[in-house]
Amino acid sequence: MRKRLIRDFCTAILASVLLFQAGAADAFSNRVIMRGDTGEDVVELQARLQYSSFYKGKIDGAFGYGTYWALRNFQYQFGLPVDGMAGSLTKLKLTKASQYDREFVLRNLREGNEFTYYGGVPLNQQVKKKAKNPSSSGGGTSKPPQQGKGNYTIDNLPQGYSKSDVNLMANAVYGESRGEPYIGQVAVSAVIINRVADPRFPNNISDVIFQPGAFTAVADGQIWLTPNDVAKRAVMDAINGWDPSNGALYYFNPETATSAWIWSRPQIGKIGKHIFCK
Amino acid sequence: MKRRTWVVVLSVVAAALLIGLGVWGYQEHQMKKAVMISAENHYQQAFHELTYYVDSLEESLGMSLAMQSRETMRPQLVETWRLSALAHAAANELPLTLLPFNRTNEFLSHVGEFTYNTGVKTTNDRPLSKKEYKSLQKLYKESMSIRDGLRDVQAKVMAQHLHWMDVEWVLKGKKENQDNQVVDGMKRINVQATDYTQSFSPENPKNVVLEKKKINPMKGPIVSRQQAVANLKKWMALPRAKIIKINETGKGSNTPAYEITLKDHGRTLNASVTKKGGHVIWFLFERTIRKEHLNLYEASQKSAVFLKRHDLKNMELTKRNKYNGVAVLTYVFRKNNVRVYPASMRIKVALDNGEIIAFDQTDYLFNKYDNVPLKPKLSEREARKKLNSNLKIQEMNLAVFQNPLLKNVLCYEFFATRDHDTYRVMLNADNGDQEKIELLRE
Repeated sequence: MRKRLIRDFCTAILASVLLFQAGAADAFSNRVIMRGDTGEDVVELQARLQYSSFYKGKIDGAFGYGTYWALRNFQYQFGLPVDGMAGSLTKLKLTKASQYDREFVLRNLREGNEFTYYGGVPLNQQVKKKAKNPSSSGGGTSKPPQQGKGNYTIDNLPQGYSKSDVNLMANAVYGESRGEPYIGQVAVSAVIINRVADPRFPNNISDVIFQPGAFTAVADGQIWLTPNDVAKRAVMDAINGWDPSNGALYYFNPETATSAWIWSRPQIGKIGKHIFCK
Repeated sequence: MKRRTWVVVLSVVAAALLIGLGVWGYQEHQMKKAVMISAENHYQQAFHELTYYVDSLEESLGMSLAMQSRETMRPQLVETWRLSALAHAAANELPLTLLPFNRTNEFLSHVGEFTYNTGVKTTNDRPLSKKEYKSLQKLYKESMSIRDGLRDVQAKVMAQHLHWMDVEWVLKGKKENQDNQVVDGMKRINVQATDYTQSFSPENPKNVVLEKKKINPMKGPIVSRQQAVANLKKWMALPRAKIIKINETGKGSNTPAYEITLKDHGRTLNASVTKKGGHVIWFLFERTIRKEHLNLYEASQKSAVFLKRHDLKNMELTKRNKYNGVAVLTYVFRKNNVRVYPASMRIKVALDNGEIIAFDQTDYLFNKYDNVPLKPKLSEREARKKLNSNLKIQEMNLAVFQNPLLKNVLCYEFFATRDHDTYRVMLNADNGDQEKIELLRE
């Protein structure tokens, strides 16, 4: 009951303030922004937090931990519930406490300049232009604004994996199992990860993949084919925790397997053409 | 006259061609030989390195056995740790994956684990416990027999000029039964290592790395294939889905389960359902993602609804990854205000229409009943004092964490910042050991 009262109260305030603030309404979309998000809303959030000196990191449109602590700090200072999410109330307070020169921020972001956006400092002192593009301020041939994904990247890999790990795995999985059903490709990726975890095998991705004799795709060079999106997605699913192989360490194609030893391993199951085993 | 010139010219050309071909062939052959030799040398180097490091390792282990306090022993243990890592690296360069040679690796890995934990990680100065000392003795004994085995093979390799490339051919080809001394020698070492591994239980939790999921058995009665499928359809709210395939997992599996493939509206669903209790361990929809419409918050609302519908309570969202039009949200079980990290689950939301396209609760299912005492022995103030004073603490929780020994321990979890970097520090809530420190990159 009390919660509801508070909520009603908040909405009432919000509505009234919104009426007065109609002029500044181009700020923020009305979606809640949270850690892990990317995009133009995040750019504005970072810029506004920097304007009011809470955020000292780079304005890059990726809501990481730096932005998170800045936002929490802001919420704390302004007596808001500290949840690290930019909901309507937080955004409202932030809009009131700061200014946002959208054109300035987005232009510099687009041009790849090194820049900051602190309040009270002249804007032209906050930009370090990219050296190789001196005439960009004229804007004659500058690229159209790219909005949405791709422009704002966050290194969103699970802890412990690097971009090169993922690329290498995608190559291996593509070389090993490109004709297999999707779930089979996830399982092959999972085998690589299971080997890293197992003490009997090397303890990093590249050593597991390049261990002599471990993968036929490495031995015959097929690992250097260009992987498709399916293999990449399969790898991402596996490193995010899906393991259709159920803990397998080996797999083989029963039609082409030459080693008697591999048949002696306890089997787990068959996916596509591959038999997975311990 | 004319004809003769022609014959001469032709034969000269033919001779030139032949010589050219010969030279070319010879060069090719030389090149191939050079490549073979370089590959062979690489293997030889790796093998001799391995024997050398195992040799030194044995010596180093033997020396540490004679030392009194941990303080004096520490440099020796660190040295052993270093040697085990080098030996491990050398062993992994040999063409022996398909042989149970892996067991030698396992031994090296145990040495590394043990020396790291007793020599590098522990902060206090107490002498080794009886148990630790016994483990050390055991490792030492084992290192001797592995060393002897390796020396044996080394002697044979040297005396009879055995080639590692041949081993590779043996492994690749079907000549499995052919006599190959190197392979046989390796097999023998491995038998010994297997014995060791099985007898070495207390300090050796890595043995269970792939069986960890058996720790807490599932609850509920055994279900049949039909029941499993019915469960899955009901759980997924897909009553009309067509069954494509049902398999039972073999004896190598972590848990006996049914692997089920369904088809619904032209889309494939893969899922795994436990035999005991009929729980859905994971599922995965295959489909392409269209244009992104949802942001992360909206995705998290979808996953919250999903959790509620499946009556999964006390789950806290701790991690969010967004990539290629999907969001992967990790939820962690919260018990008495303590985050139980090992009991986690992952939900994948498609950002085009908010559908839950994949789910995995393996860790949650198998770890949620694990009983770790949830009262810290160390006070929060004491724990804070153990942190580097350059770190600014932003957030503190109590959390259960599965350390590299696969033991679930109660920790203080600190989120702290230094300049622009954010760290997560896990401090053991009983003895103050630093279990893990992470530089968070998200």
